[in-house]
Amino acid sequence: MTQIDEHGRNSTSTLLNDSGLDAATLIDYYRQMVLIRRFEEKCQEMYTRAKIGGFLHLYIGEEATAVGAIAALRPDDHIFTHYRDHGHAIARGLDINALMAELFGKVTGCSKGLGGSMHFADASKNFWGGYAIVGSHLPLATGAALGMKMQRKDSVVMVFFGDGATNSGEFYESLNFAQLWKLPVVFVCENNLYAMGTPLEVHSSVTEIYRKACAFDMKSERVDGNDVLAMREASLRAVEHARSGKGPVLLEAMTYRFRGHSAQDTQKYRTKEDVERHRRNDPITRYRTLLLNEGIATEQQIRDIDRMVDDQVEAAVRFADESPEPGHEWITQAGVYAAPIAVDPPIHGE
Amino acid sequence: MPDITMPKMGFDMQEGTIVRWLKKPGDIVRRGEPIAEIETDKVTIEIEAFESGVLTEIVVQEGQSAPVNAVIARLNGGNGSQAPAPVAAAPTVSTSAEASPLPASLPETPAPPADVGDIRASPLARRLAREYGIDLRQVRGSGPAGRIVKEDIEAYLSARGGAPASTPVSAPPPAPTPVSAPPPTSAAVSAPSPAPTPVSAPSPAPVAVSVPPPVPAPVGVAQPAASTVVPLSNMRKTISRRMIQSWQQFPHIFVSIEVDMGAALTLRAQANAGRPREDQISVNDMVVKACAIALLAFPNLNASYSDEGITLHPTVNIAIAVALESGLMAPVVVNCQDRSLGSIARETKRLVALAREGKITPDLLQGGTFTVSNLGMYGIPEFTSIITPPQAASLAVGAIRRTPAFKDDSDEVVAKHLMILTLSADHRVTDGAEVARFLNEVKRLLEQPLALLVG
Amino acid sequence: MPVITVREALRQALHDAMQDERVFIIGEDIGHYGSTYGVTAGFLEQYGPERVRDTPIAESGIVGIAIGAAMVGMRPIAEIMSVNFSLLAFDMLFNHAAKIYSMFGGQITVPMVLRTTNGWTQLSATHSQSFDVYFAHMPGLKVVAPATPYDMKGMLKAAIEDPDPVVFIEHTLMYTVKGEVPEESYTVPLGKARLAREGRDITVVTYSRMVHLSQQAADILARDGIEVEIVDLRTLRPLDMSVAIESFKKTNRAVVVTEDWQSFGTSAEIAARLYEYGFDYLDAPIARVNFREVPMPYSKNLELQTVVTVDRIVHAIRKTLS
Repeated sequence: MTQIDEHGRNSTSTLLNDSGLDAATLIDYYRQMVLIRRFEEKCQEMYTRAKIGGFLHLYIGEEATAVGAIAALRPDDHIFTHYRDHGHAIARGLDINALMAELFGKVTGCSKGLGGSMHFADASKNFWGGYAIVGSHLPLATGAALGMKMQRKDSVVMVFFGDGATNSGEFYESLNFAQLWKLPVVFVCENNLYAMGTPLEVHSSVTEIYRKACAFDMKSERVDGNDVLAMREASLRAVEHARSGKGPVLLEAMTYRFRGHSAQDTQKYRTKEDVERHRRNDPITRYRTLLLNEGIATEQQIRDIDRMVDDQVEAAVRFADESPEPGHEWITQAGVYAAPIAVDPPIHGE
Repeated sequence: MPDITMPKMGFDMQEGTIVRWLKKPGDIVRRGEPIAEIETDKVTIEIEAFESGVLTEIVVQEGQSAPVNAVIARLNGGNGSQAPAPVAAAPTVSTSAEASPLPASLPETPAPPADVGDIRASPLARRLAREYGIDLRQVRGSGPAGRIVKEDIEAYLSARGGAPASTPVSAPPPAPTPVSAPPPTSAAVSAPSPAPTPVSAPSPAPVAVSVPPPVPAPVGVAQPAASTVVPLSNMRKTISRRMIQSWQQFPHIFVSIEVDMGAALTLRAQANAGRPREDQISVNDMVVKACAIALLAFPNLNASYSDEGITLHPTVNIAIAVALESGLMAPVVVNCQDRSLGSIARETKRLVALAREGKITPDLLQGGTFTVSNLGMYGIPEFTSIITPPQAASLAVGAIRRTPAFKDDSDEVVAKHLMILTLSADHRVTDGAEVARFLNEVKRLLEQPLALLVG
Repeated sequence: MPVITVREALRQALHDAMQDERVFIIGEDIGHYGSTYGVTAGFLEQYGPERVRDTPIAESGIVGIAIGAAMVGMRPIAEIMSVNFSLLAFDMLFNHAAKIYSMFGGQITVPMVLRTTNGWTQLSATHSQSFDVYFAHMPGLKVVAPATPYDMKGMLKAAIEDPDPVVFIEHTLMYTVKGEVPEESYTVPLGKARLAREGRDITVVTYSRMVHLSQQAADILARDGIEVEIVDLRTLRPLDMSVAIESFKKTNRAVVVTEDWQSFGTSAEIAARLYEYGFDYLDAPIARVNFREVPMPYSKNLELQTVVTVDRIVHAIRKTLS
């Protein structure tokens, strides 16, 4: 496990030097994190303007976890995630026009406007979707890993879930299956300290989630999820372990959600001071400071990225706004089955 | 100048109340800064600014509510980001309003004949009965609790000789015939020619077909032509409303009497001789005059029922039912108790003319205490009418028919001019015997018509 | 043509399917134990542990893993030993298998088969159930419940080849039912009902094991000159009512026989569609024969009074014809 100091940080400059990454790549991680942040701030705005319906769960504050973890993956690796899925989709490189259009319920959305905020997917990027029943997608990820193994591919599957999901039966079933069959899957627990609004110590008998792997004799690690480079490094180790056939890994990424669980969360379970204290550990601010201090990026470069991201997000809103809605065919059997079977007489009313 | 709008803070939020403004006009607002607390039906929550600038105006005050997307405050000097214009209206309202509109007119649901509807019969038996023009009342049911089933219809058909009894004028063609049901064509074979298959049924029937009444085709069965729906005129709506009120709430009794109109016709001929056309007296005028006189002696029939009591009207105002192309109208000849026969005749002519010209005014239609309705000019020998609320009685006047009859008590047969009067009366107000006495008085007045001139 | 059992017909279909390298079988006690109902006996030895996967007792995991593997190109056949255990996997079936295709806009398919089995024989309340109606209620699933060895083989093959998730319902009391089955590979299309017996007096609409009981009832009634027509629905979703409605238009009377509870059960849906599409052909109320509405008792005598029997079907038919 990466060493974390008393402030929950590790020595990022050492990591930076050891990473062997070029400046362009390092700066791109910053761009990805800012893009997630600005995209979601715009989501919040569009939600309050009633352009976006349903639930809206924001990832703001947790950007380093997704960007760092997914930076460790190859294009032929696979991702499954949970309903707070915007960050993972952007880090995986899904088109943000398609993501905003999905939120607007448009046919140009990544899921054709059928899924919404909680159900982003892009099979062409092996991004197998956001799932909204907590913990229930872990068996799916495990099954995909079995598929890779049976197909003799060296692809790995990375699955994201929260601390709350680690109390579900599917978590234990999946870890057992994965370790039993030595499947190439990396379980990434984003520990943001709350299962919706229930604090960690109220919902889990073991608060160091990574220790839950002990029951399966599985490799596990806790990492500073607000440090994009630490997250990447730990993920690289885990992915390599899984890819080499040694079996699954459980990563516990320590992070914090700055926003409520969803738009109507009054956040009674924590104080403004709590949130403010964690905001001082904002992963984007930390990383920007690092890039500037280490001379990787200039102030001007940072400003250019911020402006470019702003423009990109505004363009996504325009794209989503102008896109058409999905057609009636999606509420016929043709929208429900890959191979619909016509029956005559039809289901009444169809 | 960007507007701050009521934010949607949950998927089901439709409006919010401003609990507290955290900024006042003139304050500087930064993007992301809380500006107000709002309350939804679920929570109280802070809302934040999406733009930076100076708060110039608070539109929705503390304690007031606004729908999602309504402007609640205005900012000056935003940061220039081109946020799309807020949606014009609350979304929940517009979505429901955009649901596909109903067609302007819906075809009426075919109502089964009231009496046949009480008979237990399977849907298949009912359909076959419709197609073959069978009155289900004539069929004995052999199923559980006497239910008429397909076999019973088949048995009835074979007993009847197969062919439909009366050509089912408006019956639908026997579209998708049940496999085992006797096909109409085989039934037609044993029938006298021409083969009266329902498909080629000749129309129209000049007289009312006894059974079955024409029933609109069931949904899904081919119909020869689409039926049309004529929108209700205000007059029809009024007639409909009042007739339903009367028929449902007024227990009607009907009593008829036959009147020998020979003397009345003679008197009328004499009276009209030499009178100008506009002053001529009609049989109806004489009936009205007879009623006016008789009603003075039978105040219960010139009355109105209410739960508080029976109102006896001081004047006799007789409504004369007038058939119009567009419906029915009943202008009122007021104060008939004081009018001469000639006065009644002139007033009636004036009112009927106004009605036919469409110039009648509402006041001329109000205040009736009794109605006279006459279908004699159509040759109808007798009929019944429905009481016009809140009156207590209505007289239906049939045609005068020249009829062979015994002369007085002798066996001698003579030609008489007979007319049938039928009174519909509100049984809550009066009883059959009283109505009979009243009708006998009217009869007496018409058979001894000089009384009409002096009364 | 060879006469074989339902069990053997299923084995043939599975052997046939295993020729496709993407196909594997996953479930409890399918390998080392030798298969609870003998369907996959010998498969572990023949195909090895990679493709015949004995699992922990973890139904949610079994079905979830099958779904995930199907999403990335495998053709899993998951076996839930008894339908009673499938409740633990309903979240996987309902929230994932049934929805992944439509919820993600048609870009991901889940070509998997879930084999499971109904049945009862003094197993008491939790082991004698049928959840056909739950499966069939869910858009996105295809639900199959054949009756004959011929259909078992052909429809299991069709289910495995289908790109959508298919729930394949067997019956513990039917594995020894025999019938003619060709040796060669073939498929029977999903979503097509069949006429199981011709008759002119009354239509029995049914599926799965109840087809055989209805046949026995029809044999008894035939001695009295009553001709019963039997429609075997074979697939519950999508429900092909064309054969049943054609038959009903001929006979005008129907009895629906299903081995589940009556209230909101499969027979309710079947009868409702007969009413909807056959109303003008209806000559008597449609009767239904189902489980009595109690948790299954253990006592043999009570159990036999709870399940559907030939006698009850005969009685319902006579009553409907009266």
